[in-house]
Amino acid sequence: MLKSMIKRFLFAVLLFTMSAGLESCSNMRWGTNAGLDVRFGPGGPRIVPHFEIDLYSGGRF
Amino acid sequence: MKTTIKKATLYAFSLLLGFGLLPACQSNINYPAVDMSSSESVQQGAFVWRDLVTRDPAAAQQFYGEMFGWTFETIGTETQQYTVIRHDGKAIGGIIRMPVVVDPASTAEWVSSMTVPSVKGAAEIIKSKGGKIIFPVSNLKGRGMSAVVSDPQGAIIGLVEGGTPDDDPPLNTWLWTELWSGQPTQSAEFYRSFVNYEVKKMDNMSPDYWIFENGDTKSAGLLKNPMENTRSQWLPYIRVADPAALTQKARDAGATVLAAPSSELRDGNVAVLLDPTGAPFVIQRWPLQ
Repeated sequence: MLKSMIKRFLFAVLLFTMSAGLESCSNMRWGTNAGLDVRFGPGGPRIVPHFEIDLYSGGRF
Repeated sequence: MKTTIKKATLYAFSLLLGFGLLPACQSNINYPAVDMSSSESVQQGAFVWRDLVTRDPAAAQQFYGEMFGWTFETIGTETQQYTVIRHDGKAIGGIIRMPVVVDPASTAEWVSSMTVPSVKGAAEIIKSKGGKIIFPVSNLKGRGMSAVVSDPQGAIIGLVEGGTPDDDPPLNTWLWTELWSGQPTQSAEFYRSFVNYEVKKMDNMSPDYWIFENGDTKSAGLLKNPMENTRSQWLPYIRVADPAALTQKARDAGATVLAAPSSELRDGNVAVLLDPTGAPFVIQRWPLQ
């Protein structure tokens, strides 16, 4: 029973480490609860806001 | 929850901007004057200066240098630095380093400064209307009276005395300034009373767009913030010849493209970008095609 739990725990740790490693070297995106994207790239994580093109009417006339 | 996040972001940015600017209070740095043209007339509510507040001034210099041919001169000491941005030798803005922090919410931002008759008086109005003082009223050597505040809707803005905008700016310099507000109606009312703007809503525009005018001069624009869950902010526009080509160049140089030029977006005349340090800005072809 204990052995099985340890194996499951180690597997979970392995999966988490692998996903963290992949994120750190890719351009993977995360959507946060704040409605902002976190993009992972060579410069580390970066917050990127969602831009609603339909709401934009800007620029000098 | 979203309001709390916006407030926390403003608080974090304010704190960092305050700390970034604090050394200026005791500094011997001789700041460049804000005058943008040879005109002697001072135009209340006109935008006359821009400062980029970022944690990575070196990356910003490389990016904006490549994009717009700007050159940079860092003045002050290692602990009290201010980088002057020049275009064709003329000072057009500055870069201020934010302290290194782990809070990812405190992204870089361009802080646009408007001219007011009295910085001290304007700061009092801001406080009385529910805004906040981020950088207290100070007499900066070379610059004169200055302050950085956030308006009642949370947009950060610089205040200076004097200076005149260039109505027909050269390529690769400031073309326009725009307020992206979470509460545009309230923002319009605030700036109408703050700097006596005449606020005109554009006809047949969807979404709504307002122009801030002073006499015959169009000083700035206002629209509902198209960036979700970010606080209100003033964005600078840079005049360019070819938005599409420059957008690709920006992407190659590490920028994030929030909106690429397209026929649906002001007929391909604009692009909305985040510089590699996270500061949003817009490029626009002018005159429009």
